[in-house]
Amino acid sequence: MSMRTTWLPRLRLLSLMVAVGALAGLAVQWFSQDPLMLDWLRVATWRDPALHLLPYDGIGYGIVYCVSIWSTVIGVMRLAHRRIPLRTWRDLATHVLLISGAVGVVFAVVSVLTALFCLYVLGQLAGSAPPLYIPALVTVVITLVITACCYAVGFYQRLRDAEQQTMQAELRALRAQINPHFLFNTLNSIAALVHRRPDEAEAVIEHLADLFRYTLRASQQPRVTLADEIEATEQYIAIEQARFRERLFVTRAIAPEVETAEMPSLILQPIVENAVKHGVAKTEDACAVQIEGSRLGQRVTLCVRDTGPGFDTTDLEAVLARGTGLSNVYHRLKAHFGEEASLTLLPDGVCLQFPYWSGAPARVPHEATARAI
Amino acid sequence: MRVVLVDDEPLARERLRDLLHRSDVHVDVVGEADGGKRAVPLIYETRPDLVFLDIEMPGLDGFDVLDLLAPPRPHVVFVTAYDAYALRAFEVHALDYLTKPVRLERLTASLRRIAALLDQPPAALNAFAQSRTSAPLRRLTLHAGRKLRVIEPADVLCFEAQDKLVFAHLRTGGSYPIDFTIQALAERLDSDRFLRVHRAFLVNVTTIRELQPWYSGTYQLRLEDGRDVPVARRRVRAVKALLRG
Repeated sequence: MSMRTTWLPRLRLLSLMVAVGALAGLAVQWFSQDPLMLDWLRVATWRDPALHLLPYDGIGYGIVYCVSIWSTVIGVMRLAHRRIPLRTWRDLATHVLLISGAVGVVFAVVSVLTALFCLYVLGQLAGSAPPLYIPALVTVVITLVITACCYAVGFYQRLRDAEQQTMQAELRALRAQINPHFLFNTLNSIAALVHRRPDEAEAVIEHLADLFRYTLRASQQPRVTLADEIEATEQYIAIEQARFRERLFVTRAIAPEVETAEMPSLILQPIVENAVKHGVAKTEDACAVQIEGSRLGQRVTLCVRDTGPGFDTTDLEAVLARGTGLSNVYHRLKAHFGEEASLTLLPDGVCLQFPYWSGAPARVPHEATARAI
Repeated sequence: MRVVLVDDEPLARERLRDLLHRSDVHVDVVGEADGGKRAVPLIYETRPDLVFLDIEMPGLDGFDVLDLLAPPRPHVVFVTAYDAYALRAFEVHALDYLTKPVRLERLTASLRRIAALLDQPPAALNAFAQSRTSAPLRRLTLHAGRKLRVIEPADVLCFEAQDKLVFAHLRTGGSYPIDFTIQALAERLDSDRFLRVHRAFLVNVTTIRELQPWYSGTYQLRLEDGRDVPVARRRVRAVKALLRG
């Protein structure tokens, strides 16, 4: 990032703060020249606001208060967002408490500092008090209004993002379900088998039915175990083996302790399908597909390799941009596990990594929380 | 009717063979190929009346096979499981096609229609092939004696035009006539890999070893097999830019 891009917005913000502070200070100073306002202010502050130690000193106080309080609000808001993501109303209350607390402390500190400044540098406290408090109060009100607006806009944005994400996740799950190409080819295989090898035709129909049922359930059942995924993948492999015969050779090396891992459905099968499609269907000779699953501590690794031509690029973005089944898997994995999931391109395949969740997961999945807010 | 079947899936070929036996139009299956690479020489050698050509195949797909079939072309019925792009192309160009799973009635209807047109050239197919002459070429065919061979463009050192013929000089040795003009090759092969250095020469840039000054501003390229290829004066700049870049 260049200096310009980091400093320009901050400079803009600072000038906005200074301008608002100056305006607030000026407003107070202007009001205090009006006899009616002066009376009111005198009652409100028990002091004589007409007494100025310096000409236009209200503007100076306004700027000091505005910059200090506004920056406090922004700083605390950012920190709160980073530490306590907004999920429930309680989180919001914590944010409000934190921000008001910080504003109170800063307000007190700045008040004491300006009072000390008036007392020791200008040598008088009495007259400085009203212009000191009034701009501060005005600034607090303005800052609170702006903060509220920020939160409201942020909420609205998050709500829309969450809605969009849920919709996209559902759409992706739907899209992952049916690959028409695979379906028609399988039906063609069954038609070929039905007269000559009826037993084999029967088996393919059963596998297809099971696989289809699994994919239909996928959108209602967002979380499954790896064992379920493996079973569905085996149905798929059995069908493809009928199609490609000896041209397809599949090996599996899946550690038993990883089979209980929970994950979104329809992740493994699309990756294996991708390997078959881009491995077997792109080489004219036999092709081996290897499925590996392992668990190291709390991380699950799933790799699917094939002896096909492999990816022509190592750029994940470029591969995802092609809109294949792989990008669908990637996005659904990210929607489920967030930043903790990763997809890596290998020279001869794909590797997935995600945290090991089993039983009730410690963290609520992202999709569900997005819906809650 | 003499028929060739092209599909990479054994079951799909089996199914088609079964259906052809069951249809009441008499056909003679003179050959089967399990991929585009074997289909092109097979069609060239057997000269069938009709080819059933699967679209989705590894290596060379159905359209690539069509690109490599020089006229006179046989009648072709395309077969596809589900390919939106292909289906659109079939509709737009009024080509014969069948969808998988292939049905006996539709197959028989196609056979009857083509049997009636057998003595005419496949007009729609020829027009479609013509419309694809600017599409990139993924493979090439060359004549090795009476046989037709399918090769990858990367296997070629350079192409050379001699009189009316164009020869491909292969990296593995040997020179064979091919059916494309230098101009067509320059347009349809990957321009990052093949460079027109002379009216009569198109060079595979990965095989260039040296650029040597020759006479009066012209240059010569030395290729990996020691062969020298002339560079036309007006193309020197492009060659130098490419070798530098």
